[in-house]
This record gives sequence, structure tokens and C-alpha cells, in this order.
Amino acid sequence: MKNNQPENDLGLIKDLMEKSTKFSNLSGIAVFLTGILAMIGASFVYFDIGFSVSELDISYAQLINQNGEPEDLFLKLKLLVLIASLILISSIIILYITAHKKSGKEGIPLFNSSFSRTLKSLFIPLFSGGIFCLLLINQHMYGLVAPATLIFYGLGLVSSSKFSYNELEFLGYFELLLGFIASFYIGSGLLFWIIGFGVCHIIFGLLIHFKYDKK
Amino acid sequence: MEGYGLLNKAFDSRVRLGLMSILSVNEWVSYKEIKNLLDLTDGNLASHIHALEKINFIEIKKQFIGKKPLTTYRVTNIGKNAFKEHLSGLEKLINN
Repeated sequence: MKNNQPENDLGLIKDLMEKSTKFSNLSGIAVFLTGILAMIGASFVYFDIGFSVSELDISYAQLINQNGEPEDLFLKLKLLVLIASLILISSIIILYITAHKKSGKEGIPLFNSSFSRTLKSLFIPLFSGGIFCLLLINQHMYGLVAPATLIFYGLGLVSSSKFSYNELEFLGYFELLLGFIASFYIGSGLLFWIIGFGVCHIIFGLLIHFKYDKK
Repeated sequence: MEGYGLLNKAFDSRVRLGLMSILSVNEWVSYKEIKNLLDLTDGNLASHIHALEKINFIEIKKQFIGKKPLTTYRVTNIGKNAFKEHLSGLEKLINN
């Protein structure tokens, strides 16, 4: 087929160069599931379901204001960190398994350069954030942990969006914004956390699913 | 129109042009990946790959991953230069 339109040709070249170097094995349904997980985990913390740490129930706001016995506060804090780590680990496992499956289906190797660049740009801010949060806990500034996770996660998303879905950039900005607002309302950090990690992932997962996965 | 002189006949076809675009920014790409990116059927892609291989623009590597055969492709230096020239030809045509 003969083609005399240089503009079209250059457009095609640019499209394919971009498409072939971007990480696109993210599964929308998996992101959706991580959102649900975050919601469940956060409600465990919020309602203290099944983990009643003492006769005196300690709410999230009490923990933040350190209003209670030091031992009870410590137990609640341990619960919070445990649940957050469980959510993070299970989310990573879900995302990994589904990405592996999707890559097999589409014939795109999972461990290519776009995958490692995406991971690197996401996890450098995320790990720094994680360490920073541990330091905040160490300094008893519990209230800033939830906003900090949102802010660092947002930064990670914005930087990884260059090597993956463009939509990740907007999700990143939104998480950043949520993190900053949450820093003003220290006692309600959990609520912002539910919006940022729960609601946002549910919406974003569905968006990716219907836009890219379900062709 | 000086741009026309730089255009390469090998890239007249959009499939071959697309194929070169993918290979020029990636190392060793699998057949399946190319097929999916270009949205093509088997027979169609194979003939274009063969054409580019014949003029030494791309090279082929066949290997086994476990029991599965895996064929991957890479652009050669000749192919890279030809593609670069073709690109600058297209750009000149637009700027004229």
C-alpha cells in the first residue's frame, strides 16, 4: 500500500514508539480489588472489628491525639501498621499475578525495560515515604502518617506515569491534593486515606478496565 | 522537494514502517508482541518481516524458553540508519 502522507506516517511512528515502550500490563480489575482491600482494611482500623485491643476502645482520633493509656495506644498503633502492611503486600501480590497473566496473553514480556522503569520511578518515592512514615511514628507524630502516605504515593504515581498509562499522572495529582488537604485535618486522616487508597483505586481500576482491558 | 530523495522504498508499507518504529526503540521484540502492537494477522506480518530480513534491516533470533519456541527481532545498524534517513526525509517533507 502506497502512502504519500508524511504527517500520518510520523504520527504512526510516534504512536508505536510510545505504545511499545510503555508498561501496559496493569490489570484494571486488580487495581479495583486493591481499592476494595484498602476499604476493608481501613474499616477494620476505624471500627476496630475483632481486634478490640482493650476494654477502652481507642478510636483513630484518640490515637492521633494520644488520648489514652500508652500501652493501649501502642497496641492500636501496632494494629494499624500491621493492617497497612497486609494491604500493601497483598495488593502487590494481586497486581503482580494479574500483570504476569496479562503479559502472557498479549505476548508482551513482563520484565522488559518499561516495567523496570515504571517500578523504579514508583518505588523510589514510595520507599522514601515508607521510611519517612516510620520516622514520623518514631517521633509520635501519628497524625501525619496518613497524609504522608498519600503524598509520597502521589509522587510515585506522577513519576511512573511517564513509563506507563498517562492516566496515572492525574491519579497521582489527586492523591497529592488529598494528602495536602489531609494534613490540615489531622484527626480525619483515615477518611482521606479511604478516599485516596479505596475510592480512587476502585474508580481508576474500573476506568482502566473499560478503557483498555475490555476491548 | 528534497525530502523525497531520502525516503526509503522499503518503508512504503505502513506495516514495515510500524515494525521499524517498534524495533528502533526496543531491544529484541517477540513476534507475538509485534503482532499485537500492529494489530495484524499471522500471514500478513510474516511476509513483511521476511522482506525486511532479506535486505538486512532486521535480524532474527530463535530460541527456546523451556519447551516453548520464542522468536525475537532486532533492528540492524543498516536498518537503523535507513530508518533514520527515512525519518529525516519525512520531516523535510513536512517542513517544506
